Amino acid sequence: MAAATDDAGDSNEMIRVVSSDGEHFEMPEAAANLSLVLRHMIEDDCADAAGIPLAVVAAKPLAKIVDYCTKHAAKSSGLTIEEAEELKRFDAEFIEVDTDMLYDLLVAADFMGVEGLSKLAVQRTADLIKGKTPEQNRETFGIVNDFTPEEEEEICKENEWAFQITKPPSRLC
Amino acid sequence: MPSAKDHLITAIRRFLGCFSAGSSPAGADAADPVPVPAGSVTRGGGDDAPSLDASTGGGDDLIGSMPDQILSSIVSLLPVTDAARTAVLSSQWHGLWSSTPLVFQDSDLILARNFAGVAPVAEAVSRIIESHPGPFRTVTLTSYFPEAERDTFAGWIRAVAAKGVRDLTLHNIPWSGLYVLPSDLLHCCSSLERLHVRVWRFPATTGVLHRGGDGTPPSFPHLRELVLNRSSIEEVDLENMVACSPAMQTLVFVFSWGVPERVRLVSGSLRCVMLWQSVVAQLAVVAAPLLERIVLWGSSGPYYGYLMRIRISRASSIKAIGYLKPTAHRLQIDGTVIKPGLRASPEEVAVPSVKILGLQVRFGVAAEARMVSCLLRCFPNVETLHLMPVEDPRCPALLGDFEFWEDINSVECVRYSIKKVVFHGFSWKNSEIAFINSIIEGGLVLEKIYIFFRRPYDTISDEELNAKLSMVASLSIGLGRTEIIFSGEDQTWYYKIAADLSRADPFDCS
Repeated sequence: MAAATDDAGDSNEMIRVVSSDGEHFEMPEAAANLSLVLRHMIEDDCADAAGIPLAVVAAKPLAKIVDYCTKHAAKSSGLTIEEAEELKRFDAEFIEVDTDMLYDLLVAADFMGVEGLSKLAVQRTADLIKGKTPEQNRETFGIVNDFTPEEEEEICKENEWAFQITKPPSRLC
Repeated sequence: MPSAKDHLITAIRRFLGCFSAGSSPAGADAADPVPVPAGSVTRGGGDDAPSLDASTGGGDDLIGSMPDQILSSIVSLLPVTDAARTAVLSSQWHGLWSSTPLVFQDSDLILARNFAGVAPVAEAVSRIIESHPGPFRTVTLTSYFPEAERDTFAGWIRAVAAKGVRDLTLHNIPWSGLYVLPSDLLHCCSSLERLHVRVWRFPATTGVLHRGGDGTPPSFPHLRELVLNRSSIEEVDLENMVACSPAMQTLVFVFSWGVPERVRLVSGSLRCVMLWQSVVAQLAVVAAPLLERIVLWGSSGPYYGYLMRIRISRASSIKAIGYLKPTAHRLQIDGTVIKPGLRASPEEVAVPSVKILGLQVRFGVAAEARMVSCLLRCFPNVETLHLMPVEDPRCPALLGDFEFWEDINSVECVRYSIKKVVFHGFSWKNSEIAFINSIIEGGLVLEKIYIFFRRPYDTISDEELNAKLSMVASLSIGLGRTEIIFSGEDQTWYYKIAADLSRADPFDCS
């Protein structure tokens, strides 16, 4: 069953991957190659019919990542302007996800070494943090404030400039 | 007094606003405050991590359990105040900003919503530079200081240098009173990889910079890219900078206005030189064996006729050169000036390394056509030809006899070498169509012509446009070896694209 890798370079070949919760996915080899981890496994002849197991990526984010890689691999080289624009729109819509999915994508893209997706998810997270008060950010990202009020005040004082310079009308710190 | 100060502040903000498109006022993104229930990805790295969706209940701080390098990359994308404020989120975030290499644009402070003046900004800049332990990755500093406060800015330069700044941009607002860039830069910034100098007079370098040798390193051992934007530098100082930066690959002038008058390149590492909207009398590649890219855009000479002399050598590695203006740039190859009626044999003036050529052409002018033929003969191995039509108010005739373009189909590279022609800003002139017709006839190996057009809003009706479109499209039908591709409107081409050495073609802006 492991004979499929003999004709490496055949870009039509489908690569199977298995999520941590046992779901199977398929994508073209060119798409799988966008993941550093998958590419190495393909090069090392580890891609077989049983599928490459991804022990730390669950089905939900994996489905998204397969989607992302398939789209980007299909439009990798020699893009026309319209195609580049379309890909940008695809990315913008793709990353409009809730914070749960955003975490999953951040970690999974990092683990699988999908550089474009990592950048996209990191930028999205930064965009969500930008311009918010610490309290708003804690709420958005479910961050538990484990400082005592005294510690918090101390930290605010350390970086006082950061809290003064774009102080919104309400209490910030 | 307050009103004068207000004027200055407004002017500074407007000035900086032009530069930093990225720093929109914060708070534009409406985040859905979604409470965080379960995660489906466990941390990577654990060897046996069985992982997954075992719901662990609501309110989990998943972002805090992420690998630090992901959090660091998030922090480094934030404006500096947002980045520093993450310290207070939780103990996991505390220390993250200060342990992430600093990315800091002072314009984030100047363009902040509650900006009240430069004094608090300057104070904050000082605090940031002081409180972040380094290393500093990318820093942008602006001088809005009068001469009396020169040392504040010089002190910043010394401080960021001490923390190993790699990518440094120094802006200046010259009407505040400082003109000459503090020479501290030359003494202490050995960690620099990229330096962008904007609106400064470059300080004197003689006796200050050193080339290294005898066990001492050169002044800028790692500097790969130098951008001089709206700045002036004396010839001798430019030559010193290049000589003392043995890793320099890219040298860019943007809006350089005559100082230096000549750019003479001697470098064992330089791969790309660019003159963007600049006035320079001479660009001479004296000895730059690795130079592969000469990009000129809107650049000309300072004197009558705006003639700019460009000197290259046959034995060069130049792969891409353009946009040459046939009659405004005087190309000299080794000792020979390229002009119509040249007696030299093709071998004496040919630069075989050039594969990509850009020409900015007044298609309606016969003299220009003769020069285009001359130039094409110098580059027998060109495979990609980029063309940009230039309007010439002196030849307004849309109808006319443009037979003078017929000659180009006998040029060697047109017949046997050019595979791709890209028209940027095609404006539907008959002269341009005559050119295309000729190059299709002569181009035995011409595969594709890409036409990016400029819509002539007021001079041409839709019917006429369609008629021309069909006419151009039909040009290739007879011979059938060339495909004409209408590619819509062109993307903006700007110097960062052209200087990006990872792109194969500096003139390709898609």
